[in-house]
Amino acid sequence: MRPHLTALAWATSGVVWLVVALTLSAELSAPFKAFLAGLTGHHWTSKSVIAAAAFIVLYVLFKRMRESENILGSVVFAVVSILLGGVVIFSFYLSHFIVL
Amino acid sequence: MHILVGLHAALGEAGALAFLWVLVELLNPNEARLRRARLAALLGVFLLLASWVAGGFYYVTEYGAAVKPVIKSGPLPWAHAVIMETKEHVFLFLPFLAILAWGLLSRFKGEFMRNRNLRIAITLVSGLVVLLAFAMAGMGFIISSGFRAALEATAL
Repeated sequence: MRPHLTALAWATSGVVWLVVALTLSAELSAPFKAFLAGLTGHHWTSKSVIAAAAFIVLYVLFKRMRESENILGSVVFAVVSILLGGVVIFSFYLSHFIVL
Repeated sequence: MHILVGLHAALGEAGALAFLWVLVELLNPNEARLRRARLAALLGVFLLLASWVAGGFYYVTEYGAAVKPVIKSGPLPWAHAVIMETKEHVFLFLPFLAILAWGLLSRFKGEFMRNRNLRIAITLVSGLVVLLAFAMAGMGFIISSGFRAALEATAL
């Protein structure tokens, strides 16, 4: 099995920002959080299922792209996305806690 | 104390160690070491996926009802409001990052030794898996401390 690395790296970055968007949206909108909870019984389970499904869908979509000769750029983007995504989520909950 | 918490932590740390093993194999790579690194990465992917399932099952069935309200009413409410909330969402990045590391090792079997960018990419991704997984363990310790502090405040 030879995975398409550009697609894998871009799918990883895509899932990171999707999780960040779902997390912030659910905290800022009670109806959206309730909608997520209604999908599977718990908002976190829904986020997990959506993240896994999105990873597969994004990989299949990005797989149609020509594989980049230099994979390092796509990998660095995925790594930076994860670091920034983590900082955004932590900062959001920290500010939310300090303000409330 | 709950068996699922122990299972979640043990599987997660074993996953982190698997990717640490990948990094060690890549220090001075040859064909045999790369084969072991691919095996370690695949093992790490399965361990982190299993940790996701065990931790998620505990979080959904036990934590929300029995632990979260105790922490929130205790002296360290931020242990849930900031640390647990961050942990439960940032953890979702880990399995996908682990799959990316395994993909990098699997795709360019023969090119690894002469492709410097590929070596940097695998080292970056595997290193981040290790750091994130150990960060999850640290956050778990803080959350447990928040729960213990709340129980101690009630008992005293």
